[in-house]
Amino acid sequence: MGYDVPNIEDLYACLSCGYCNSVCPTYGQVGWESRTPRGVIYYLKQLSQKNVFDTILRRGVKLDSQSAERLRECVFMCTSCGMCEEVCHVDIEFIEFWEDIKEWVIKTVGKTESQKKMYDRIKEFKNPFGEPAETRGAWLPEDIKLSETPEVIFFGGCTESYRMQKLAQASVKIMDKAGVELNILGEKEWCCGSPLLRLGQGDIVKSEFMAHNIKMVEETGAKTVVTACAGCFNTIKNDYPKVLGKLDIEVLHLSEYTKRLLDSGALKVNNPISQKVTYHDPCHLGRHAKVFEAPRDVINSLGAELVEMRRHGAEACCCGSGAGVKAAYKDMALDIGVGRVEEAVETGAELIISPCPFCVLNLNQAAEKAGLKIKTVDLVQIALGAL
Amino acid sequence: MIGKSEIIFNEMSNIVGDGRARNDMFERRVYSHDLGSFPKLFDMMFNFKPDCIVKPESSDEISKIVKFASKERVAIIPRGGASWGMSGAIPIEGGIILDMTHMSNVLEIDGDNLIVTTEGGITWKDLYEKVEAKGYMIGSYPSSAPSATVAGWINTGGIGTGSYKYGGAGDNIRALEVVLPNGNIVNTGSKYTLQSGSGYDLNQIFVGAEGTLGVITKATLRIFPKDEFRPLSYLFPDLKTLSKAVQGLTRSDATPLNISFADNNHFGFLRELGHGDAPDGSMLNIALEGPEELIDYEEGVLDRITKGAKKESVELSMHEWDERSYELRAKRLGPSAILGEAFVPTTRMDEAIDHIYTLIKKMKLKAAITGMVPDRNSVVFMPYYLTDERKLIKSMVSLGFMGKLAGIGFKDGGRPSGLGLFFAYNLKKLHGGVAYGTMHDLKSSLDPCDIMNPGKLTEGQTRFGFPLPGAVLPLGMSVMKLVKGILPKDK
Ligand SMILES: Cc1cc2nc3c(=O)[nH]c(=O)nc-3n(C[C@H](O)[C@H](O)[C@H](O)COP(=O)(O)OP(=O)(O)OC[C@H]3O[C@@H](n4cnc5c(N)ncnc54)[C@H](O)[C@@H]3O)c2cc1C
Ligand code: SF4
Ligand code: SF4
Repeated sequence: MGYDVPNIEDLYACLSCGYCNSVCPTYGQVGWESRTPRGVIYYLKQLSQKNVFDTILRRGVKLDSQSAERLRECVFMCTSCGMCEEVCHVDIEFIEFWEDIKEWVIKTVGKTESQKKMYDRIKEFKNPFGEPAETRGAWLPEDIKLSETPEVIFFGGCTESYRMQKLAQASVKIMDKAGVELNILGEKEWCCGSPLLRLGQGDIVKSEFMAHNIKMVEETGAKTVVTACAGCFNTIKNDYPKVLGKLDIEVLHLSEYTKRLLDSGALKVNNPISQKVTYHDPCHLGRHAKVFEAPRDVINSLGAELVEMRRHGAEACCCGSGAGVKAAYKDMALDIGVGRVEEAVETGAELIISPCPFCVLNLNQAAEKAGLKIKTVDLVQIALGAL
Repeated sequence: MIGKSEIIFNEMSNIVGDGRARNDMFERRVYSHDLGSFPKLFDMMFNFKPDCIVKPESSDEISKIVKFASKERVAIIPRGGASWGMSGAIPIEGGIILDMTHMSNVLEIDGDNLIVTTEGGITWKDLYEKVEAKGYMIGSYPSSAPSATVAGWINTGGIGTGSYKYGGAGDNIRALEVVLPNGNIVNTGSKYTLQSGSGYDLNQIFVGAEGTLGVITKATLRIFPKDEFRPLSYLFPDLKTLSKAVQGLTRSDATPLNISFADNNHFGFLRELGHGDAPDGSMLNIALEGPEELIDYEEGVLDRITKGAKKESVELSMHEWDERSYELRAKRLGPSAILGEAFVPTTRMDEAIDHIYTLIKKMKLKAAITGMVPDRNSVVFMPYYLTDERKLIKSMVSLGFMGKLAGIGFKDGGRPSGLGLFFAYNLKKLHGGVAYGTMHDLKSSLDPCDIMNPGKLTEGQTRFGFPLPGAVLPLGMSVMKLVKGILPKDK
């Protein structure tokens, strides 16, 4: 018999039309059919098949070590951006599809050294950097009053807690300005699990991390979780309920929450910005979680002139850094980013705004690589300056 | 011992350098297919896996590759988006696949002269978006525009979106650059003016050549000033009543950009897929293009001709237009689908509809009919049938459907369309013995070593060098059709 590949119905449903190839940002860089959704699907389908004739003729695809290595590479170069899902002729739900395939590849071929390290660190330290839990909340500015009976828990996430503390600080300052009763989980906050889920190693996330984080929030009595990280947001909002069932708490991205605070009058724009800006939809916030309007509404409220890139909204191109690609294939991630920054420059905008720390980092590094002057800033930073 | 694949790979790496050639098994396997999937049994007759895949970036590189191939008698298989359903872009005896999709630069959009010059590996979608951004439009393109390449479509000689007004793949070509089987690079046309006067029209030799005469590297195409656009959809109770409207429309003075249709079964499948809002009936989709007054006038003509049909809302009509590249959503229900194509004269549209439905019924298929009207005199039917390739007999029978459909084309005074590997044996029947001989001579004189996409078009050959006999495949198909007739109905 052939290999026990998951998503068999999708493998057979694929028409091989190739629409997915032309939008796939990694194919755009790699340029071989092996690094396309169509190519991987075809290969996996071949792996799954073996009939009587194949046995008699000693044919059929065997996963020799070279092919296994290539398969793993091709699958893990995928940024999980979901652009293929957007155009698929037969509606393959690729965001989940790739997670299943990654999990299967790890099971069948094994983990790379760095995947293993990442897994072990998250398992032990509850964050991918191997940082101690005690310092997780150390970013919190002293002048922010925390509430004993909070309405909102701000979920910092690993990247903002340990590496981009300014974003976490700006986020709580915005909510503080609006007088929100707020608290954080501090050392009790664990990685949301996104890096493991997107890389097909989600077992401990599903069995421990999800329940832990939700329990910690529930213990505070807060009814709302707000996060400024697009990855944490999508994971808690959309992946957690798949395992835990419907959540009793509301999960919001800071852009949505800021819009709410602006609409209710709790926040006022005191120093409007007059720049011409463009907005980069993070995959996790846009295509995955379908939040397209709220961040744009906030940008408009701030007074900025918003111009759209050629590909925006559901068609927006990935920044290049998703699903561990930035760590494993740095150059490719940057090159995808360069394409995106060039698209932004074409609009004539002076600034790129994006509400995701990974997009912000990668687009800035990409601009530097390409010698382009345009900067990318996080929505919370620009909002804080204007409010 | 160093094998054939390795030798070719080393040579290719010398020519193109920096990682633009591959020959690992993984890559060779993923390039061993295109949209047309052969029943697995055929693996025995053919060697679908290329020895090497190359991504050329210039005509000069291709010229060098071709010279090597001709010296060493290695097959060259040009490959675009690999979206054609006739297995035109896969090898039958190994060889070198040229992945042309990396030659995708638009070289010049010349609005004054209304032409665009582009490399051949660009997709039609990318090309029309670039041309549109400058205020012009492409006349016609295949509905597979998101993946189909300019050179790929020219090589299949297809018709597509916009053909009713602007013709097919061959009708908007001003000039081509082609690397010939001897490595020479030829410019076929006249960039700024139409082809007329003395001299063979070299542009047209390459239209429908299926990659057997050379590798198209560049094309200069006509473009048109962009004008107003309006899609319209009319719903009929069934395909036969829709057919009456098509007869009327093709005899009226309206010249829409595009005319396409889909039958009740097609929309039934969409509902089965969960698109609850899919209409109940057969839909005629028409796209009008031109100055506002003209469009208004043509809409009036259409409203009169389609009297009795339900005119759909602007939103739904736009939705149908936006879905024009997604004709095969229903495949998932199979999950395999077999596609057929047959051209018939407009005057015999009714008979052909009867014949196709009878075939579907006789073979007990779960099938639907879609189609297009590429000009006033022709209707092309593109029926598809849902099956499951994992069920061996069911899937083998599939070829029977395609074969019989080609037969219907002939019977109703028309013909099948592309041949590729599937239907190479039909070329003689399609054009007649003398024309076939002439094409054969043309191929032999341009490609004496038979290195350009061998096995396609002028001769079907298996890997053992036996010709794919004109009789065996159709015979096999008839047997399969018989078998299918005895099997229970597809659910
Ligand atoms: C959903 C869908 C809709 C479609 N709609 C249409 C339609 O409306 N009209 C239509 O005609 N077809 C249609 N097709 C079929 C197919 O997409 C077209 O024939 C398309 O033009 C093929 O282009 P390609 O680049 O994919 O060519 P490929 O499949 O890669 O190749 C086709 C043939 O051209 C040759 N070739 C490719 N590139 C070159 C080159 N540079 N030089 C020489 N030879 C070359 C190949 O060897 C092969 O024989 C459709 C297919 C799908 C899946
Ligand atoms: S998710 Fe993105 S990167 Fe991954 S295959 Fe799809 S389009 Fe390519
Ligand atoms: S778009 Fe969907 S159906 Fe088409 S090749 Fe890609 S995965 Fe297959």
